Amino acid sequence: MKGLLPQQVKDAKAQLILGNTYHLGTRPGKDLLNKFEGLHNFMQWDRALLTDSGGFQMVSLLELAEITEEGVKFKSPYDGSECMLTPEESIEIQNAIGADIMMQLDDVVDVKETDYERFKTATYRTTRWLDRCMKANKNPDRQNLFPIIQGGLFPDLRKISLEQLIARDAPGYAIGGLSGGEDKDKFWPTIHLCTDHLPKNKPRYCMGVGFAVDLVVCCAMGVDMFDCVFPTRTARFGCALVDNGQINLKSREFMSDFIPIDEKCDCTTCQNYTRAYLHTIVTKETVACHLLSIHNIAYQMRLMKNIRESIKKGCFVEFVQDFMSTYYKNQEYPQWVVDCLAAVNITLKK
Amino acid sequence: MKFVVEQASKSSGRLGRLTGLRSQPTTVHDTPLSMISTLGGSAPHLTQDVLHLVVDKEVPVCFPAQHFCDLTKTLQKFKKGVTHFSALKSHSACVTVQDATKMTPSGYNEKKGISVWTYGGRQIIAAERYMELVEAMQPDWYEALNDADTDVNSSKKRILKSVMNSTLMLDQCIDISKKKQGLREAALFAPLLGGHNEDERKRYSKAIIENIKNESVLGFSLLGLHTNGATAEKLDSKLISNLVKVSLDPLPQDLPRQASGAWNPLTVITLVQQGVDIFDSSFPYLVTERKGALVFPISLTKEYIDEKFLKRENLGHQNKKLKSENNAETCHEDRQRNKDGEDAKENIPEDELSSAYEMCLKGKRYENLMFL
Ligand SMILES: [Zn+2]
Ligand SMILES: [Zn+2]
Repeated sequence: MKGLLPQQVKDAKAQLILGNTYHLGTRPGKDLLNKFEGLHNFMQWDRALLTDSGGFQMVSLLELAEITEEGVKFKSPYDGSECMLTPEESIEIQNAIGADIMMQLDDVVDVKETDYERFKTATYRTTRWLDRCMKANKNPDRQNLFPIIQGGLFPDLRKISLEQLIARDAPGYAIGGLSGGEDKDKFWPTIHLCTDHLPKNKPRYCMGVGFAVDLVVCCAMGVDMFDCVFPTRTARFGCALVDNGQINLKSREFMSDFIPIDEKCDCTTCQNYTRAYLHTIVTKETVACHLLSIHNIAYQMRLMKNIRESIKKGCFVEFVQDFMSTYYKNQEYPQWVVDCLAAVNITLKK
Repeated sequence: MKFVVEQASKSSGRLGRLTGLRSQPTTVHDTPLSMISTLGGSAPHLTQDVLHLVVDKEVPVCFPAQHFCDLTKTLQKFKKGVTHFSALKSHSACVTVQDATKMTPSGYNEKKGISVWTYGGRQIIAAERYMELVEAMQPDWYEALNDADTDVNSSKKRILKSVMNSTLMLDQCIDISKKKQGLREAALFAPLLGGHNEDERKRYSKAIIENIKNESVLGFSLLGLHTNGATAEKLDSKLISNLVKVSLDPLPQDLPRQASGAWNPLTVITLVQQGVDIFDSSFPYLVTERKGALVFPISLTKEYIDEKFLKRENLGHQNKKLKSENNAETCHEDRQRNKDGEDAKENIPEDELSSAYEMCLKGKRYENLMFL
């Protein structure tokens, strides 16, 4: 994790971290990872690891990526030569990484694309690629391969994808193709449809979701796992996550604010540093980015822990109500949040 | 501040103890020592908890005033000083004028004040304002404001200007320090200046002796040999040896001498031999920034250093030479892989290797050596 030692990530109570197959496949590369018997060993991480398939990174990072039935074709950013990431190659790298949870290579379509036919192709192709991935997986006993539900924002395609992927027995399922800036009114019904159909006894992982409100709402719909760069990305811009959203420490209002980001937070940043000090170094010194990342990750981990605790105690509904009324000043809830929570029988306080 | 020299000799430097600091009344710091250099109040890239994995919680920290020029009011309101403000409260603090890790642009100092580069840009700071900032920062010791804008190329005229400006500023700082309650317990270090001119350096050091008699000055800061950043690292220790000597000779033994700057390790050793007590960590910082890892050429004999190291013109070339021979001698595991390593090393552009004390971890060449 950028700027943090593995121990600091552990101290933030992270149980599972995500590695990017595309980046790891480029450097250190699968040969070296194989030599080290995997990334756990290479980076001295003794907790769980999850890897993406590399496909999403390619399509989003490389201008020239092109998807064919065989795989994702791209020009190497290093020497310009033509390369191909096939489902088999993706799994080979992920096997070398040794992730506890692996993702199938899926046919990624920009969620804002409007062509129904493109989504339809992607939905069926993702199933075919899952079969190739499953076949290629050398360690099915210890590396859990998750299929990725596709189908864009089209309920019929999502249903087809769900039906086909559930038919292949998998240890868990990912919901893909969202969090690309789609309308929230389309986002939540899609998640809801998926969680409604996915098997109850297997983990559901919603890819790329990480805003606090989205996490709470998705948990209410029955999602179990998330990943997001948001806490660390927003840290880079000088923002710290707090109960009512985030504060930008660059703002002059913090110049003489000698309290921690959050007085109730037990992270090392809040234990030692004031807002006023952070104000003087955010976006100027790398340390500021590390300090905010530590707090933001701790915030996110604490949020999830509170969700778990509230479910255990049987007071999740109250938790959601309290969370939302703190998050939204004067209880001005966005309509999609109200609608979505109503769909799972949670009524927000007025 | 109390400083005791425990052992001193002409050729092997001196052992000392720094005690009685206002922030750490009971802590003893053994000298020669290195302070931790900071940027914006933090060790570069290191949060407080990570810093404490590497160094003692009490090690002195150096805060360049230039990073805090806009924070006088904030620090006054905060009341507890710069170490508490920067979350390094267990440490003692030294304030210098300029940041030794960054080259100070030349030609911007005036009689009325010194140019410093803050996050917002250049500012001219005069003694009054500087001392107000120092008071708010509450260090254990600090440099008097000074014009140290001289290096090996400086003209006689520039050196005289530097000396004249600095003498004036030293007097002003001493005056102010006596008036300000908050500065009573902070030790003032007088700068030692005179550029690369032995006569001027000698004259300058002699001239400040008066201030020592009336106990206004409690230490010294060796300046004006470089203009910070990599300019210090590139200095040949033989070239500055006499300059340091004439600066330090007139001084009493029982006051500490500081020499901030990214001196390379060989120069540090030379300076210790000459009687310098306090350094900072700007050299490790510069090496880190260029993705280097310090590995000392401990197998080199003195003769080897003298003959092969100092007399070579081309830094890059000598680095490569030193590195491969050193690797082969000091690390037997490395030797087994030397073949792979050597081949890879031949492809390194020479300018990437910027000192004989480091291995550059950038690029692909160490991928085969990772099992060390
Ligand atoms: Zn915190
Ligand atoms: Zn080390």
